[in-house]
Amino acid sequence: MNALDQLVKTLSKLPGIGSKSARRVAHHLLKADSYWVAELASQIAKLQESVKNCEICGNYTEESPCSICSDYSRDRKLICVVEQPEDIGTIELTGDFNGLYHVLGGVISPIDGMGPEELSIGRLLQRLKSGGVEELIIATNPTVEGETTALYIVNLLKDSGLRISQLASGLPAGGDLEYADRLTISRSLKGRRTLLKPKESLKSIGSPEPEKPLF
Amino acid sequence: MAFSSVRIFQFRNLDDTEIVFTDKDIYLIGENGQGKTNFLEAIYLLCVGSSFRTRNESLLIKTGFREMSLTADFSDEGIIRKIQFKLDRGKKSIRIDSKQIRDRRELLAQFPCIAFTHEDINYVNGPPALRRLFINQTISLYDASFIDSLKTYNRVIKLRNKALKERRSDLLDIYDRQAAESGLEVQKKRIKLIEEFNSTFSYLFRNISGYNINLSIRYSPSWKTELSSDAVLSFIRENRNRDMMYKTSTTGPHRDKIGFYADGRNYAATASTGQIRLISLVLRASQAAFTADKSGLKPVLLLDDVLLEMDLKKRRRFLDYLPEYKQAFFTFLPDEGLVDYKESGPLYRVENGRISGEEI
Ligand SMILES: [Zn+2]
Repeated sequence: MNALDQLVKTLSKLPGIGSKSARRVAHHLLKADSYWVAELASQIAKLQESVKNCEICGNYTEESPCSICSDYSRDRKLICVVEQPEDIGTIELTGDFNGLYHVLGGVISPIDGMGPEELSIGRLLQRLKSGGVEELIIATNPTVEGETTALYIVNLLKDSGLRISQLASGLPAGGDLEYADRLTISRSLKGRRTLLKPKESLKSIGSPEPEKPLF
Repeated sequence: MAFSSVRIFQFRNLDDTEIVFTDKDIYLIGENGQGKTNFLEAIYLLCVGSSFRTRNESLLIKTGFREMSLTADFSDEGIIRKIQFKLDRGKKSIRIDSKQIRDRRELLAQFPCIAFTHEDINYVNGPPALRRLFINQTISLYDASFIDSLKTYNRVIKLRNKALKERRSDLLDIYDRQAAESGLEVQKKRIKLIEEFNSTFSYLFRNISGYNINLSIRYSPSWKTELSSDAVLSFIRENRNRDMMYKTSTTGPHRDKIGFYADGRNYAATASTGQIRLISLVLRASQAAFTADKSGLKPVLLLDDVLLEMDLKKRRRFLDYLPEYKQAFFTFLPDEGLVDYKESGPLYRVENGRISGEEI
């Protein structure tokens, strides 16, 4: 196998790239300016070394803590829980969220060997324990597994006094946060449904409305 | 009339051709194995977007080729529109007026399609899963959100079964709730469907069979609790130890039982083969009538050699009691006495994959 064929084979492992587009890219690279190709190669080579996960939230960053965690103008009482680092970018694009994030690194799915232990739920609990957070927004994808994960976290925190809400199901069922358009996410950020109310705020209402059962 | 022409390209054993239809009733004549059913399947694919015979769509492509397509003209309130079903190297695309559709609901909104086949008797005397399938299919013909509920429930059960094997009580607490919620949605829709469906079914069975019995579908859900999620949840919890022992979810809509009862007894259990065939035909006829009523759309009917199974009287009544339809495709064996149905007009011969039109 020659170098060109080899590259085609490697490129076609990329998401969304079939063998046809892989061949087109490979031919393009062969004809392209050699300085640009070398630059591209070095950027790819450096990527995994220079970009790591933020020690606090799990976001992709070169400096840990990441720019979001170290931005003190953001609302530190609010944490949005997402499945993957790329989900942060999607929500940031809406411009409607000014709190902090927590990346779980996946969802609970025993079929795929993913239990709660495999996710960064422990680190989330630690963050909450260290204080200052009042509200959690769970933005896992509206899949069965995303829902399981959300309910699991709510269950763990049911006596925490935190307000917990979930992105309203404006997202298409079975959809992925990554593919949902900005407007949809923005809308569901505004219309998020409360899963758990802080006990204090319930008391302060006087005659508390009964907590809406999850099911 | 629904379809005015169908173009076939590298589909099953059929020759590439374009067939023009001028009638509401289309008659196809041929020996078995020549391609009649393949043609009905083509019509079904154009209406529904999947096959009634197989889930393995690569079988739809003619041996030795990598792609196939079916293209049809249909009339929509006098306007001619185009619909295309295409498979290319494992990729399926469906287009209406050259616009790719993303949701199957767009397709089903054109015309529902009901296929009557010999295999339908399995819905009556086959395993319980097939009767659930028939009911699921009937609901999804007019309520597409049911498919989402069912998919969600099935996924939850799959995950729950894995959690049972791993004895993860912490996860089972969550899955129990998710199963109760999504399963109850499935159960409620089945109850409602069967209740409504029965009035059509009993009526048609009585009139087509000529028997003086009141046959109806009886639904025995696995969750025999009141229909609240709390009641279902505690029922699931009560059964968790047993589920752990069997390493599988032993209760829920995936274990529902559905049977055919008359005067309090299981009619299908003692029925003759002829009676079972008749029940299966009435099931489909009811499905067609019910779907037409629910969706307000006249269906396209496909009848694959099934008329042969009835005596002349029942056959007449059966045809009389079919709901109003947009178009019907009937297949016959060459020596079947087509004159009983048709005196003149075009008919189509299917021979070794070749379809040719002729006048009677
Ligand atoms: Zn961070």
